[in-house]
Amino acid sequence: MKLPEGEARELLAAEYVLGTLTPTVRRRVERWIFLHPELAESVRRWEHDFARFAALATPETPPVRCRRRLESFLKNERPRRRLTLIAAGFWRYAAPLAVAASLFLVAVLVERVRTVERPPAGIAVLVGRHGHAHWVLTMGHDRMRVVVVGRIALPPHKSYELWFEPRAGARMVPVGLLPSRGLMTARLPAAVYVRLAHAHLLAVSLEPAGGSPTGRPTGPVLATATPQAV
Amino acid sequence: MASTPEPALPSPPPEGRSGDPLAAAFLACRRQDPRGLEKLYELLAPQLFGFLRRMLPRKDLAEEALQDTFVNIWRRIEDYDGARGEIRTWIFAIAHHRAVDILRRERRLVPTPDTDLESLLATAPPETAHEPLARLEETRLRDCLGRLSQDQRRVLFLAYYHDRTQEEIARTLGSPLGTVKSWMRRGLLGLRRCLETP
Repeated sequence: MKLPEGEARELLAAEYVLGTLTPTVRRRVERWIFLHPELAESVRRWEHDFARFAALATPETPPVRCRRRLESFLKNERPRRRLTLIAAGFWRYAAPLAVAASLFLVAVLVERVRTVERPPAGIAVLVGRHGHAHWVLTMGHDRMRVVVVGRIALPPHKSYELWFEPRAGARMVPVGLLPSRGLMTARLPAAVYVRLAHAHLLAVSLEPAGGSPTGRPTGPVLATATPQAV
Repeated sequence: MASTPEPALPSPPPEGRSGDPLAAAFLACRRQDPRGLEKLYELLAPQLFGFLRRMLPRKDLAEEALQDTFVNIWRRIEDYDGARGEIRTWIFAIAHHRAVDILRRERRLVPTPDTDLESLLATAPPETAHEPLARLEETRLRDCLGRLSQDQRRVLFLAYYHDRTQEEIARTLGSPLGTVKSWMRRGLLGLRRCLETP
């Protein structure tokens, strides 16, 4: 089915944001958003307009308990940050130890730079249904680099998730979320690299924000690649 | 997850707008400063709560949705891409999405009878929209919605505020499905044309 044009496309975008499309049409629209920036732009515009629609409601002060709940949530989220601060204070006063640690870190950094400069050991170009490359993955030496080709539209409340199929017909294994623009570098443990580089297939699916809730692809597969050794 | 990707860097929020308390609070939040989230709450909670009270049939559900909205802002702040929309749009979309999830969970509940678009339009524009542009856009939207027929407004309201499908709207209003579809199509296109007229 072809992407509708003009008013029909505008309606499709509006109904996608409104949530009135059937699940089948909705999934089709999500594919189209990925492939057609003009539809992505219409969806973005309707999201903006409907957010204004939401803001028409008369403001109402929430009960005090709502704020208390939020403060309680933030208190529970804070310990990690406090730990960092305590650590910073410790280093400030432990000068000799800090010098030794700095020298060690410089050595690690030099090794890191040399590692990054090494050529990648594997490469995969994730290609969509129409033969366009969307993501280029270079893998190896504890890092994976992802470059987004052009700009990829991401439907609201969705994420792109990378998977690999170890061998034909095997269960897909999740790797992580992919960006929709720019460049991303991720740590890649050696064991994962070996599995990825020798995978039968890599695939990207569209998932709810944050990734598949089931550990398996739940949305449409939008691009695939066969990893190549360099 | 086999590996933990380092977060990609989406477009930044409009930092340049000095004196914009919403952008400042958002940036603080992005630095994981809890005061940023508290400030966002102070700025947006009444408007979000008013909206959620319209969408959800019970006060406790609106409170739940409000809490989840701010937790999601905090946890998913790196997902925000300035190139794809404004901060307010992103936050209201999170609130709407969460309210839709709750509505679907509580499908048996019937919305409170006083929630209709006519009463929304009849009330004065809220003064809590901090950005002058946002205030202007809301006034414009009110004006454009006012130009639609009552039926067209009603179906849009039921779809957005109550997560109703066209079939459900047809049943609610006791109108044929084809008629409801036509009201929705005309309403949406009328709204788009009006909003884009200079």
